[in-house]
Amino acid sequence: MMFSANPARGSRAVNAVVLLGVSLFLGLALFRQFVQGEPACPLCLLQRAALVLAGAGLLLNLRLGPSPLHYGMTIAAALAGMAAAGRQMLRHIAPDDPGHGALLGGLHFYTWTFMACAALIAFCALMLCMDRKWGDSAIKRRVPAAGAAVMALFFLASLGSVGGAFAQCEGGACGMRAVGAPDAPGQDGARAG
Amino acid sequence: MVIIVLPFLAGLAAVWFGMLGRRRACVALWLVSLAVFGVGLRLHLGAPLGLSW
Repeated sequence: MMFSANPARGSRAVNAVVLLGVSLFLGLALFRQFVQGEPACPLCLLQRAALVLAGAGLLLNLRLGPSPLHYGMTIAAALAGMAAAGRQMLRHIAPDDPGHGALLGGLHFYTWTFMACAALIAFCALMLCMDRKWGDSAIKRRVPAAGAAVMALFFLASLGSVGGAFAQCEGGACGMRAVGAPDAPGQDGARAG
Repeated sequence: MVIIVLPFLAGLAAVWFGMLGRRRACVALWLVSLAVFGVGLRLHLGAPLGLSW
């Protein structure tokens, strides 16, 4: 039991670091949408929503202490994110399909999202093996300043994601009537980027 | 539009309650958000792939 000597500090610190990573990932997605002007497709938005939900489990670990329920929340949301990202990868699997959006490090952003979700699942599996549940209660714990800053950053990233979804939907780019049309402009078709 | 934005709104509320340490409200909203997410994703899963004719 890696964190049994001081279950509160070590485990929560690790969760804070991962939550910070999720926040930065969401921030990068928002940067690409608002600063670089890359339109966010409906599946991209769903992937962001999945990351917000995955981060909620980590946030609860930070706020209330680690619990299998919180890790389960993160795993379920990451699986949902993998489904959305995997669906988008399959959509652009055809030869000569440029995919949606600009490349980042040689990969599309949805591929990075797929890998990030897989990494989150691996992290939770590891933590469930090593981390000791130190009180599966809803009693609030005192959060250090650094942890509070990470939580605040994640909340801001979540708030920005809401703004990103509204901004994208305002132009009608996330209307459900055209969801089934793979090449509809503004959808996750190859011509959207 | 609602089906795309609603998971974000419910998720944001879940995060807010999580920050406040109110786990029951956080988990309930998280479940709502995941359910709406599932409905939204289901609409996309039926769309044809790039290799479909």
